[in-house]
Amino acid sequence: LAADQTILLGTGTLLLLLGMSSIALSRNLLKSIMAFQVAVFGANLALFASGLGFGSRLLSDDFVLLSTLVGASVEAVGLGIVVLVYRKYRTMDPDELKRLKG
Amino acid sequence: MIYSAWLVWVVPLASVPLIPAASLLDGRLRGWLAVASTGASLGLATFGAMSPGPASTESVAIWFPSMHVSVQVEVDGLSVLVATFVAFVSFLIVVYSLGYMKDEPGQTRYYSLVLLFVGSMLGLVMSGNLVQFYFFWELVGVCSALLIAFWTDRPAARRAGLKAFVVTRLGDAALLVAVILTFVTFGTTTFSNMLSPSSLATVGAGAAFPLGLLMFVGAMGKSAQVPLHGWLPDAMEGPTTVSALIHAATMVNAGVFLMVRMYPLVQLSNSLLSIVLAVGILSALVGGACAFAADDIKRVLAYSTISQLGLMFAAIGLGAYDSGQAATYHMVSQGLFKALAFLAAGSVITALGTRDMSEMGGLAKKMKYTYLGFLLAVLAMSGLPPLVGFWSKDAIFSLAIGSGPAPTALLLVAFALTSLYSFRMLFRVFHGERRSEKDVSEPPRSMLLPTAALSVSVVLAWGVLQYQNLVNLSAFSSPDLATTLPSLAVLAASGTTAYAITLRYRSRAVGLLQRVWALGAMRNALSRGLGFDWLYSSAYGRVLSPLSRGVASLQTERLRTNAGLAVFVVVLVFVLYAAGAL
Repeated sequence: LAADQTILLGTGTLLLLLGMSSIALSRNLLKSIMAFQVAVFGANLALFASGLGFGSRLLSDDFVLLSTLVGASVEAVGLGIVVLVYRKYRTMDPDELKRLKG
Repeated sequence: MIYSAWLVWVVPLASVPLIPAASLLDGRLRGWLAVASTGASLGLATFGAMSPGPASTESVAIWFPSMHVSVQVEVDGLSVLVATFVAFVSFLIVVYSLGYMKDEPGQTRYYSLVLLFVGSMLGLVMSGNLVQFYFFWELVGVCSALLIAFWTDRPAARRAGLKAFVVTRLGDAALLVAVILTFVTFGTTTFSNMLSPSSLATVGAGAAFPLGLLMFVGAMGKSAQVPLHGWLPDAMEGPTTVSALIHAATMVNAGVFLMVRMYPLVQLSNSLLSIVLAVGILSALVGGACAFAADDIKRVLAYSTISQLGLMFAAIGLGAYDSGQAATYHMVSQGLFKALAFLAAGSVITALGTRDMSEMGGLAKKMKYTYLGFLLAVLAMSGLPPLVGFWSKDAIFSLAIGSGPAPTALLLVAFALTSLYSFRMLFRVFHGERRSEKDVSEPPRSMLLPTAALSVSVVLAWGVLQYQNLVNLSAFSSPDLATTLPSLAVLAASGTTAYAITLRYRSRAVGLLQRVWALGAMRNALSRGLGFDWLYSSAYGRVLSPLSRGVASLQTERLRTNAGLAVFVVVLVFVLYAAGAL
């Protein structure tokens, strides 16, 4: 493993863990979506870094690009759902929502 | 080739998004658009079949450059014949849908899925490599499951769609492994490269056996062979047009098609051929026997499809030089007469509003044209010359005679069952006394014309195929008395028996069924599909169900708990990895 690759992989993993922990800790769905994006970026970074070692980098680059695009639309849908949920239940706390479901 | 062959399957696929667009303009436009699209596809395919050229594999576009996989179009005798046949049946059934689906809600979904199916099926038969083949193989499976569950307000339909999806998935998984294994073994999945004599010479029977067996398991799922056949009778919950198109004429043939395509590889291993033969004959017998006991007209046809597909696999399993040709020919022939039977049955179901044969009877006078179509389908199914079914069955039968007495005898039993159930169905639906008070009449013209066209094709197909040189059976150029006489004798005997027990001595037959315990028990077992469903559901209840309940309990429906669990697992993996590395 080259030094830059290690740094990239480490940062990616850290971002993934940070993002997921924030989802676990946050009491606001909007923040969960943001944390989710952080986690996805971490995963993308790790994917990109793992492609560095091969002769042709093009394939992993393609997949990272694709994943980023899909991530953008996932984020849009997620935010839309959060807005709808807020309009319906007047709350953005995931624990509260679970209780409301009854 | 004057035009690009890939247009045949790209045209229907490209028209899929046009259907929702058309629904904004005018509801009726959807059906006509589908007719125009499949019609164009049929025109292109027919044109290709009329202008024969050398077999070729054309690369259309690069797909996975790193693995040297491209989108390829295979143009050879097999793909041209099957593509033309698929386009022909699809076009007629879409026309039939205009009348059959007239007042149904959800037509946008219906026509989009049907077009997606037609395009994928044509793409499947014209694929030039296994990766592309597998892609379309999955697409037709998805369309099939979604169309079975088309009437989403019926629980039985939803369950049947799910069942079809899950059961065929077992086979699909095997096929996926086979695709990867092909890559490892041959270094390519392009048919013309991997199946060339020089490439096959490098793999012996030892390597061909696991590869072919995995492909055959995939084929068993798709083509509903015992013991993966249970989804096909249930698939009859979908609209009759879907049953005719997907579950009788085209998609279920994909497994046979795969085996024919891979025949140079399959025939390398004798043990594989015997497995294919055994499964084929077993399915032919089980399907035929269950068809004889079923009361739902569509289930009879579904079991009959299982049985006919079994005959095709049996032809392949016989391992003769002509096996592939005979199986392909029976595939086309079965597709034509079974689609015809389904369309005629669909007209009867629309007229009476029931699928139960015990409420039918004596319809011949009221529905003359439908009766004529159904009669032709039944006669072709049981193999009366000069209809298309006779020639293809004779081809398979002559292969069996060449290989030994045991397959010959078993095939004769399968032929007897075929004639028995098809004549029983004919007599119960169209003859005897009427058992429904309902006033019935012929269906509208959009439903009659496709039935008529298929009736004509059942009569003329053999001549057309011979004239266009699309079927070449070297050992089978003219009918031989030694093969024709036994099958005709069986046809006459079973036809008479069916007449006796359904019409002439019906009350005595019913009495016998009630008095003799063994007969009644046999009938019950057969009408329950010989307990395959019971076996699977009890196995599922004992093993898989508790397991999946345990996994499901991990899902707490609380976002924060789930995310915390995920973090825990990731950290755990890292710690274990670090501990391993140290």
